[in-house]
Amino acid sequence: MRKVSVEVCCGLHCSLKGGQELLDLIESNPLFQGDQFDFIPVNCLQCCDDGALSPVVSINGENYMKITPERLVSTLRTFIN
Amino acid sequence: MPDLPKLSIFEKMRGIFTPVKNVRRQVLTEVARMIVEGHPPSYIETIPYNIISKDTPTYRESVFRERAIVRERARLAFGLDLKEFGAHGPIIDDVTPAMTDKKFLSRPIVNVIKAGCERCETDSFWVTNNCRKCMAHPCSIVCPVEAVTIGEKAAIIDQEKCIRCGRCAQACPYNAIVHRERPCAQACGVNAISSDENGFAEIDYEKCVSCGLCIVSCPFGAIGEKSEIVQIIYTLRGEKPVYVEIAPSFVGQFGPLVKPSMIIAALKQIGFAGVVEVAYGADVDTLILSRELADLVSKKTKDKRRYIGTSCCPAWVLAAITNFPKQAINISESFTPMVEAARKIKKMDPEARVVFLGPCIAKKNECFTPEVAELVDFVMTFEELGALFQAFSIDPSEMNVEEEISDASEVGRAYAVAGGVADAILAQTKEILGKEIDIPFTSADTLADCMMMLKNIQNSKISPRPLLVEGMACPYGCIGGPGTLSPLHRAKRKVETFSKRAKVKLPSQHLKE
Repeated sequence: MRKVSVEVCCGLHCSLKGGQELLDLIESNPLFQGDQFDFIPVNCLQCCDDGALSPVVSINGENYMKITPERLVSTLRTFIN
Repeated sequence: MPDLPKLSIFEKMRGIFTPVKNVRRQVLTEVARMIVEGHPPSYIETIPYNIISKDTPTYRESVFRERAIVRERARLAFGLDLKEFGAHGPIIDDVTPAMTDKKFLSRPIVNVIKAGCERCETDSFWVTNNCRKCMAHPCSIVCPVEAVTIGEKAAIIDQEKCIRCGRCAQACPYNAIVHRERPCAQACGVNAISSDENGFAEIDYEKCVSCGLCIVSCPFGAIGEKSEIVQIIYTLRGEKPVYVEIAPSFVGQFGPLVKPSMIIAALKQIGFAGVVEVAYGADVDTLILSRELADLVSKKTKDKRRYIGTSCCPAWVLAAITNFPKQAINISESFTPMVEAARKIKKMDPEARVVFLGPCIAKKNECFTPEVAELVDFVMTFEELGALFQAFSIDPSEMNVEEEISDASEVGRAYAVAGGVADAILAQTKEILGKEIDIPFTSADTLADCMMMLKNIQNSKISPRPLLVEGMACPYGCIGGPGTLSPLHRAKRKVETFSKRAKVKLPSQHLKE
């Protein structure tokens, strides 16, 4: 099983664009329970162009910009073995 | 059915980031940036195009309507009245007077943006396509007014005849009949929202207490509140020192990584001269109310009141005065924690201009009271502060941790969570009386429950008769306020942790009489 590190940006811009809510949503999703996923709130990833590309989530080091809750869930599902 | 708890209208969209929140915040940020970057008044006309920049609609049937709504929101962000519906014209007409450091806000605070209102059904019963047109058809049998008939494919409810008793919905074996209610009206605890002749939501300002819960409950974002961010930015640029008093629910509002002292550091970076905890004012109030309660308990008073009602939530106080005037005389006449904290600031610096930062929209309305207006200049929500941080490019999560603020007691900081006010007053009263005694009390959150509580008190339905009554307009207390950013469960935890870090437990341990 490959570990998946999910860093959710909780800097100012991403927080105001729903970063906290994204974190809550995936942490409480029954599909992502268990040891495979690490959900980590992180400071500004410095790639959002002052919020224009917020919210940002980084999955195993790859940044996903302007990510919607729906797209985040479907992306994470592709990592489930 | 999976075993999920039923959510109240307030809880359905809380903790979820929706496009409605996104647009609200974008407008605030655009307006704040316009002022901070020093654009001329005419720039306001470009804001709708900056936010709705696509050629095809995202949320509604056309980009023109989307922009029309954003235009109205931009007006509200300046503190301007909405343009009368149907009265077309540029938005910049009267924007210049709003670009000032003087108080500009006028009533009403909470406004229906008719361009955005989808004219939801008000309180009616509807047959959905779950209906099987069953042989038993209990719906038409139980209807007391012959409003339900069985049509060709399904049951039909004659809306003219229907008296909205709900018996058909109760009896349907397929749960095919639903109660439709407009979310704004459902959220309103004082029945201030009805429909106008065209079906648009309409607020009765005789009843409205500006709690703002309709704003966060409308799934189309068709209700908005006026903001003072423009005037606050101009004030920050002025000569006089500007102080900010921060409501106890501020903890954790800017994300899990932002400690309370980082929020304070960020406030100072955008130009505030000093920061005071509103929880200090809560301590002052706890002492006043505890003394009143102690006198009532020991019957040492000529006070004709039958109980002490809490006075910290302006929406609750106003709703009680309007709906239960006989009960409202029991509410303490002490000013709110916001006012007491402002007094402390004015004592520190008589020249100070004061901004209240909190989760609350009713505070904007409270500031029209002359005594309050003398002390508090402006009110800003956490959401509005977020826009200011963005406009000033100050990120609280990147601040260095400074020395912690320490203006208040543990119980004062816990005012932000429903039940916290009563807990504080009870603990302090027992301290004053010098003994552990049982003081009967009751509390409610959300205005609908508060009004029910007052009705029950009036009809002597609460036993033993409470001596202390706490009312909070927002669900779960101030942490559920319409101007909050943080999901409820996170906010609750953070407020609890922060209050435990207070240096003293009770107000009497750090305040003089």
